[in-house]
Amino acid sequence: MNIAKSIDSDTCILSIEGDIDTTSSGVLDKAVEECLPQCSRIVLDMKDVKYISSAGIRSIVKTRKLVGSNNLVLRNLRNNILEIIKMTGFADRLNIE
Amino acid sequence: MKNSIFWKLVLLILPLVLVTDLAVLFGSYLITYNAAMNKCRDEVKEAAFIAANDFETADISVNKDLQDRSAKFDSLCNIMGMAYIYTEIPDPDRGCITYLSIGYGKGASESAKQSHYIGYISDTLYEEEIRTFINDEVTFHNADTEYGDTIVCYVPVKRNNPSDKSGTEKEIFCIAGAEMSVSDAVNTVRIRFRYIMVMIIVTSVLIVFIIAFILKRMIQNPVTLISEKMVGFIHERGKEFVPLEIKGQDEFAKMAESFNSMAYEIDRYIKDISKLNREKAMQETELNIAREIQNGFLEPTSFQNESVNIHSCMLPARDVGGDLYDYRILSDGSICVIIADVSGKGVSAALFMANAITLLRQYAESGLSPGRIMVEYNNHLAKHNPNMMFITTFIGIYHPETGEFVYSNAGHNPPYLLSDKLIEIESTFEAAAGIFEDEQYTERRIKMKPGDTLFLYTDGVPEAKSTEDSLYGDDRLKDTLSHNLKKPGEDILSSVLESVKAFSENAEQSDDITILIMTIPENRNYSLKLEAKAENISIINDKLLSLDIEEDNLLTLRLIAEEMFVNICSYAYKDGTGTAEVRISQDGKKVTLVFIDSGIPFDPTKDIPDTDNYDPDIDIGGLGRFLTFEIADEYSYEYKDGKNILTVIKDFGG
Repeated sequence: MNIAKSIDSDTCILSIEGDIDTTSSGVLDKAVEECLPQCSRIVLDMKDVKYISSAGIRSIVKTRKLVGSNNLVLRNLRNNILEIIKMTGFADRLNIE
Repeated sequence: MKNSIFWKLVLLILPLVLVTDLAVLFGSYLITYNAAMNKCRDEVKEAAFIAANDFETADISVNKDLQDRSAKFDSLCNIMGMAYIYTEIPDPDRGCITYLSIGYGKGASESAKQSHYIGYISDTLYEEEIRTFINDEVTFHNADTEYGDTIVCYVPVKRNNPSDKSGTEKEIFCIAGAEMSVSDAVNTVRIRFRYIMVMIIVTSVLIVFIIAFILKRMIQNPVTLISEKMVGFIHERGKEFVPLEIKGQDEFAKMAESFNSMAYEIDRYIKDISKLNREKAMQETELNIAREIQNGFLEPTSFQNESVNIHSCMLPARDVGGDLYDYRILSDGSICVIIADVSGKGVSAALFMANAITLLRQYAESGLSPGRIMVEYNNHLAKHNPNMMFITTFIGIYHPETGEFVYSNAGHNPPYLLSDKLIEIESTFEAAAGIFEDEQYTERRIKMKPGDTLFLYTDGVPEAKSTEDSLYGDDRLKDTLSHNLKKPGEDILSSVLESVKAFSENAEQSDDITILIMTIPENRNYSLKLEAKAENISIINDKLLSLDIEEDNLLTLRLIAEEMFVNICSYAYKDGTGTAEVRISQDGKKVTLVFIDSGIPFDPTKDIPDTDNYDPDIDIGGLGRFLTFEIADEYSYEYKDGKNILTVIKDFGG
């Protein structure tokens, strides 16, 4: 998994490429932690994420807990990933663009 | 009509009798009539003679004498029943007559009394009057006068010639006539005949009915008896036949005799035919039993295990045939398939087939390779084959672990392999089994992969005949098979049978049709034994990639596999690591994942957390389990022999 980071004033955009699973979710957690000192708002661009497991969802929910529900945005979700998030019941508690 | 013969007889006889009656009646009427007329003639003749005699001897000089005579004639009329008695003088020259004396009797009309007086001249002169007057004849005249039918008799009246002194010579002076009515006489005859006629007709009709009744008894009774017997002969076949008895020597007796002999003949034929039918039914029953026994030799028409699917059929052309198919699972798990065709058909072929199938099974079970089986089997058959029958045989053994199919062919049609394309599997044409001892048989091998099908058949398939006697042929068979390459075995079988049936239409099946189809199932089974470490997920993912499944569905399977495997990695082995087994199997669209570990007993299907109060820092494994069982179509858990066994099934076709 690769994560490209770009910062725009207090917003950090993380463009993720690859699968967010048990083995890679730690990388996402780490990338989010690195953003936090500079940014209060995080955007996860998931255009190139084909697969997510519960570990990945857990990372997203952890991020939400860290920045607050209004300061996390999920962008460009693929259908199958949106389906899984909906299944967990978190879809209406996340800002999905 | 119930008494039709009776009425026909009546209608036939009655007119004949009536015509005869009428003819006889008419004849006797004429005779009686003439007799009555003759009697009248005699009477008028007598009256006329009496009158003539009286007039000849009487003294007639004055008019009063004539009147006296008239008075006498009156009484004579009454005595003799005449209408008129008179004397007259015909005058042939003037065509008239002059009445002299006239007497009237009963029945004379008043007008006649008025006009016919002495000296009256009537201008009615008959030819008979002239003949009597001139020729001295007694004549009769029948008159149809206003007084009815009358008869008149004229008699000459002779008196002495005044110029003859001797007084012996007499000359015709006038004629005497007597007239009487014949109406009474005729009427009497007619009335009498009317009674006679009525009596005769009534009697005739009665007689006719009696005759008809007698004839009816004579004809109809035997006919009814015979016809009842005929009906009874057909409808009461169960009963013993009682011969007809009709007395006498007539046609009916002869007819009864003919009927009896015919009935005996028919009885005999029916008994013969019944006997033949019983014998035939017995033969058919025996052949049916033979067919059942032969079918009993064969394995069921379909079989399935994890390595192969088998579908087969044998359709004998006659009650019993000489084809055979066989399949068996050998002790090492390999599958032996056999198809064979005995030369000839019928009972002999069936017996030979029974021997062959027993030998083939024995040798196949003994663990020999197909080539060796064929050699042993051929030697055994050839040793005990006085009739020199032979059997083309194909034997093949499929080894599921290597996918190898080893086979040997003794003169049989090479089977077809339905893989990515249709292939006729390579065969060396070697002698059919059963003829030459010590014949050697080549052994060949091909590789089969999941989804491949082997089509074994006997020549009854390509040699099936149409109604025009043309053959179904290899090309049609290949064509049908080419269109069914990736189909299940039962579909291939039914397609071929339908195609052959459509081709041969109603033509009689000329040869046994036997087919055996072996399909290597496409379901994929993998078993991975892994160290329970999260990074080993990639190994599972690689295996999942080899499933035949769409990408989106693959991601779903990845999710289930990851969540459950990570679960084992994280919780099963508290003290270091252990191993986990992941089994993956696919059957069509249905994928089954089984996770087995030897860790602490834990049922992941229980206590699935509620996502509403989810805290990512506290609840780590619960979300994965929640997702897995949300996605799965079926799941089950058991703890057995110290192992946690979790089965999760996802059916993408459902």
